[in-house]
Amino acid sequence: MSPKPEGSRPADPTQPAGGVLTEEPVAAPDAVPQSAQPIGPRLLERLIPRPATAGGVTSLDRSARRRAFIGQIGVPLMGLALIVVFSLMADNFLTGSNIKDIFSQAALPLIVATGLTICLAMGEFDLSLNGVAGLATVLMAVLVAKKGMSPLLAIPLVLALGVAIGTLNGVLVGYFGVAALIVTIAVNSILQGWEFVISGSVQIFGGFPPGLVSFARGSVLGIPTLVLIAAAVAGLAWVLLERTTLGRHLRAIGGNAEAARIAGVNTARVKLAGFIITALLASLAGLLFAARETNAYPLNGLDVLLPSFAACFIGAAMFKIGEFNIPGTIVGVMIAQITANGLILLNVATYASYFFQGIILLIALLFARVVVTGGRST
Amino acid sequence: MTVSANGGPQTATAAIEVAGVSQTYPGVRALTDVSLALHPGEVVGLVGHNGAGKSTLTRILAGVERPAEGRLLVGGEEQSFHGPQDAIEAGISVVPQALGIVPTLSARENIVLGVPLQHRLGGLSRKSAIDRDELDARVTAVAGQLGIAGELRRAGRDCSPSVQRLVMIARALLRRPSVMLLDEPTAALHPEEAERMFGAVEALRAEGMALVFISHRLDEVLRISSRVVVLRQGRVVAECAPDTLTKSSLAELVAGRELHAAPAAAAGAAGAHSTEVILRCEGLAVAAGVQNVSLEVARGEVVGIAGLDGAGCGTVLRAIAGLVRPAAGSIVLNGTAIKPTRRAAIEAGVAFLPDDRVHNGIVPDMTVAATVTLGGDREFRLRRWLPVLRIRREARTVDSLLDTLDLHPRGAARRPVKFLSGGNQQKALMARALNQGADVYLFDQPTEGVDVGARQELHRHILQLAQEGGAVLVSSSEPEELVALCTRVLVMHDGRITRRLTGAQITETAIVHASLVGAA
Repeated sequence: MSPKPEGSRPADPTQPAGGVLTEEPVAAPDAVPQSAQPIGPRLLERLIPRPATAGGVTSLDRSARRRAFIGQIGVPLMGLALIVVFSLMADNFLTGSNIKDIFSQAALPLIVATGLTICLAMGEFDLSLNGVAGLATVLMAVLVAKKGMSPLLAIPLVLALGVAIGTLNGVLVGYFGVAALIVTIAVNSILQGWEFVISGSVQIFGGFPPGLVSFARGSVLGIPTLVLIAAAVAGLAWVLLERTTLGRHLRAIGGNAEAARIAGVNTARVKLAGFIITALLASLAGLLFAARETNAYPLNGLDVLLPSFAACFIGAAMFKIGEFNIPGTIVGVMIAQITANGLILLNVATYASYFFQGIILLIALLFARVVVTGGRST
Repeated sequence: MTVSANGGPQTATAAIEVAGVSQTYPGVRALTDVSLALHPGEVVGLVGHNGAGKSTLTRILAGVERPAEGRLLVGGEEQSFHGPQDAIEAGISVVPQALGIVPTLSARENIVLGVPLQHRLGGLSRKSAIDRDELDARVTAVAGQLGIAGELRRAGRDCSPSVQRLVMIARALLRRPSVMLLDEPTAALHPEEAERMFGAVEALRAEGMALVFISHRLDEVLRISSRVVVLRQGRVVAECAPDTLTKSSLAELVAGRELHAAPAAAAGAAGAHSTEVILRCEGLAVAAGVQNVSLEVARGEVVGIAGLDGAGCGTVLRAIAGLVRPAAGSIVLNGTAIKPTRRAAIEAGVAFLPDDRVHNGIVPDMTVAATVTLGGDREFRLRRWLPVLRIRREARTVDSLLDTLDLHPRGAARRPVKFLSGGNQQKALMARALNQGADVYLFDQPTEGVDVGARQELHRHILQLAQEGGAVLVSSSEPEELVALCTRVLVMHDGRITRRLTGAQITETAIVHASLVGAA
């Protein structure tokens, strides 16, 4: 059997313009439109514009191939470097309990970041994540700790609130065409105001049903419950984005909204669905946060906005390069948590972790830009 | 007037002249041995059909492209432009068709936009900077020339379309050019608005400027020009005084003599189609400039729509496809009126292949399979109520669909669509239409940017769709494509159907002629 030409080179699913997939060796005049990459209002490309890659179909030049390779290993290497540095500097870093701690701490941010990945995949933003999660935390605390409502009733109620907020965002953006940037900032402000109304501006602590608390703090087979929930959420989101009609439609809108509309995708309805999922997951994380912390105070809930964006953008620089994807987001969340955890072990003040989160986001964006464009600015 | 019978004033030196210019693009000869001299104080009307070489010639004069052969003379001296800046310095100004006016700035601010001003602290300014008083004087002079002095303080968005264009011309005039190329300056202007434009052009000509007036509106060209130059297939085929021409004779010059015999028309789209009308539009009007369009397409028939850019051909297709809401009229499919949404149109059996597949057709990162089934994946769902997709089955189905369209190599379904060639991307979009199981197929520029081989295949598949009982409506800016495909061709002009050609009447000449002339 003669070896296939593909066999000579390791398959690389992320090559920006595949050599092995070449079917017309000569770049015909019609090769030009397809190499003109910036298409549609795709979010990532708005932030990190890709230049038109020269050559297109024929073959990858060496630097493009190198960039694709760096893209594949760059982010995992960065994570590995962080682990090595922290384990050298803090001797309690690589211990079983600390690793478990990192995963527990990553669970709630991962739930929120998963929702944001869906929103970003359809080319929109959601900046109301902190407001949704915070309101969910406060509402959950009020319902179960102050009103004595059963968690089995309170949980659906809080999630329904999340759906309602997502509906508001989605209708305004999808059906009325208002820019998501300003809609979600405004909604965030409303929600944060509401946190004070619902809580009466006082801290709520104590009075949480013990069953709920032990569920949120407990483990199944040694794995924290919240980690299991986060894993399930991420798994379902992966199926949604990669294997369902809705996921296809979300991606199509993110990739080329006009083409999706012409193909018959109801773009307004799909955007509504996307915003609902994002807000639903943020409210889920918020109510689990209340159950775990057993206290709630307005504006003092999960601070997930920047870490979620950082995780999604780090994730877009790996696996499916240039696309927001769930595996990438998981790695992004883990890198953020490893950093935060390592800094705590090194006795760095809490406020400093904001500083480092910002730096990580910038490095990730710069990295994604270099991977995608080779660092050319024009 | 100093214009001689056969053209411009022969004695004076040309402001700019091209001599024996040829230009080739990969696989296309865009210009062949073109010579053209522009003299001060004349308006040269430049006409030609799509692809005749007008844009190439404009780009060469504007310094955007360098000709492969031939010479360029400015004021009688040979020169070569290495970029647009050289052309501007040589006094050549091009006013493009697309409006570049900033709606929130005033007309005056729009005129002076980008002019380097002399800094108040002299030493910091650029060499080309203009002193403020000098600029004010120039703006006043230019506005007076163009007759827009009274509208300088009006916001760009409140200016009438003709004033907006005059503002763009005024901006070009600030550089004091000696040659000005106006690309379709009257496109989309009402007659009274166009009148204002003519006044301005005439004023500039009287002051000794050399102007080129590029337009599809033949009567305007005949009226305003002191000389008419006709380009066809990259050659100057005629250069004459406007009074020796009529609109119809000029249209014939643009369209050219028919090269192949007429029967070629029927050869491609032979076959007796049934008389069962599938699609019927009556009195269709769209706000974007389509009026009173009525048409019928029968089962097994390929009907073409021809027209210049902006004639409304694409808009008619989009209205039928449910992408543009009609202002009036009805669209009836198999006897039932369809609601004006894309979803409703798809469910009623209207497949639409958009023009400009990069912007309207493909989502580059999607697989070919997902591209084909986007908007119609019901049969691949795990359960009717559970829209999880069985992607292996989907890939198999798509592969066999692509096979019927001769998309090679086989097994492309799981690849990102961006890796396919243009022709194959178009086939993938065609497969989407097949997958949706349509009765009516609307093709907008089906072979745009596709190589010759793929074009022939696409044509074969379009004809096959009709043979298998589809009703096909094709809009194309390439007359030869319609000749090869259609049994009937509707020619549109300014948003209306002005000619209906059938059988042996369908020739390239007839299509071009009718789309230029309109109702007359």
